[in-house]
Amino acid sequence: MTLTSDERWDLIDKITNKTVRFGKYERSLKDIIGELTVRPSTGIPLAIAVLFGFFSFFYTFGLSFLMMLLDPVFKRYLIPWLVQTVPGGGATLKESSLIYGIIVGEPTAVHPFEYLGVLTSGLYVAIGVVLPAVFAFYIILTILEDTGYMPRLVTLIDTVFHKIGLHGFAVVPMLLSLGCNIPGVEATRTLETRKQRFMMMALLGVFIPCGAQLGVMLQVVPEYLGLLMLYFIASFFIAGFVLDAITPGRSPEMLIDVPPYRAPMWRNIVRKVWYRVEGFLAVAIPMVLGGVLVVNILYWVGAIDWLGAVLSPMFVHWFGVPEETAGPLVMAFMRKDVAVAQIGAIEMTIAQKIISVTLVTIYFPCLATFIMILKEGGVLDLLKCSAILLVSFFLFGGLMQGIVSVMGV
Amino acid sequence: MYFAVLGAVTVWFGCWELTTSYGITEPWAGEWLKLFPEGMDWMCLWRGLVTFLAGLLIMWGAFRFSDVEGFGTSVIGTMMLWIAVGCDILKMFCGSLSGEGSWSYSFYGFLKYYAPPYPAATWLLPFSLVMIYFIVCWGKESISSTKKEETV
Repeated sequence: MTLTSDERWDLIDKITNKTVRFGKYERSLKDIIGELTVRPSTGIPLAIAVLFGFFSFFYTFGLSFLMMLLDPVFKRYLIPWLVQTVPGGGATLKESSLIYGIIVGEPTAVHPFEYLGVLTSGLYVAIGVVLPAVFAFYIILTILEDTGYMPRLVTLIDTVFHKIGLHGFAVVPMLLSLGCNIPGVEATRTLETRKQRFMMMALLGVFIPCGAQLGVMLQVVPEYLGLLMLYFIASFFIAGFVLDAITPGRSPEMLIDVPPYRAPMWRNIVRKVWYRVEGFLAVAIPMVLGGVLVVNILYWVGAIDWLGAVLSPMFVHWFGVPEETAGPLVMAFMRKDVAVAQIGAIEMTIAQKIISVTLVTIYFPCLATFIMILKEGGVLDLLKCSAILLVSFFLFGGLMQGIVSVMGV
Repeated sequence: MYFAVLGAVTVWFGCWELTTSYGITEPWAGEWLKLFPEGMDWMCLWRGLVTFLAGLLIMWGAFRFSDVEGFGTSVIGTMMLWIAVGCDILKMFCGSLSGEGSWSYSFYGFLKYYAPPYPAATWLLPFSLVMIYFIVCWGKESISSTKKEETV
């Protein structure tokens, strides 16, 4: 059946009359707030408040509340039970059996971080410290995504990121990396060019501490977390500026469709958080337990002491930290959070702790992140990232020593 | 007028929180010269900045409250204040339920978290809730004007 031109117009009119409402469009409050959120004069103050809420929730709910609820499980029940039950325990680690050393670790330890056993320090770090931090982080990130605030944040900070050759979408891998670097590296796929992806992977690996690390940093140097975060953000942009200048490739403009604000659906939030935490646990727990085991073995065979002796001139003179820091730095390759936790157990001044935590953060990313960079960028990108990491390690680590000296901490 | 005064008070509270988090209790104190004074509270500094900026936005919007954008600006300022207060209330709530990491709860231990002193922004919560009335009124007006247009 074919329609004439007039019949077509009649049909269009009929459909239009049934489906289109005529009237003057009134902007709703949601529309106005949506517009004001992407305007720098009102959007930047709101972004400062939203990020305050973000980290406040992360700190209060994840680190103070959940961590405190889980703490007695380990300190009162699990660890004392393991110390009593596992056979072969002696007065010191040297007098203990191999099984005891692996499962429980140092019998004279007081804090769960100091045991270094797979089921003591390993489980405590993985479930008692890392899990609450990551869980709280993913809850708040999912809420921000589902309300429609994230695309606005992307639009708002686009100008800032353009200065370093990236665009607003770079904030997504950046925020995800604050939870875990692995999904952060994966999220660099949203960036258009190879140059942008490489830059983002390198910057994430060096300057963005993961949720687990943040959790432990809050236990080791709680009063200086703000200073450390400011330092990492500033270093991120300085290094980004340099990388943009030396990396060949192009940085195209961005076009984004900003959705309206919506009330989040709790069922979706629960599902998304669950998938993310499940994915994190599948990767993190075996890595933490394996990492603790490797460090344990390295301590026993004397490799850590040897490494400390070899690297001590550099650590002591360039960074101003004790030579024992070499152990946690080896550990940092397996899991950075365990390394930061170990730093908490070493006898140090506050300034040395700040420098050590900085070093662990800007040191090589953990093994899992390394594998992700290899998968996403290939061997060449991984080697280039490693070179950037080494240079940043010496430069920004040394700079931090200068800052804490000036501050007189 | 009401929101202009609320904005001004919020700005003042924000300034006060900023200086106390910096460790300064007297304007002539030597702490001004120190970049990061001892005992500086970073989260308090951040909250002070949020309160200060919220006050500025509430005040800025209040001067052209009848205008859609002015009203929206004041709403954003109030929302910022609610974020800061929400975080304080969450802190009290989580603190009271955590049992200080011991799983032992006492009535006094539970209640002490809700006792004063409260952060500066928390005192402003009851006064800022007036904004809800204006948001509801604005929504009703908007719906009725759309209906009128449709009838026409």
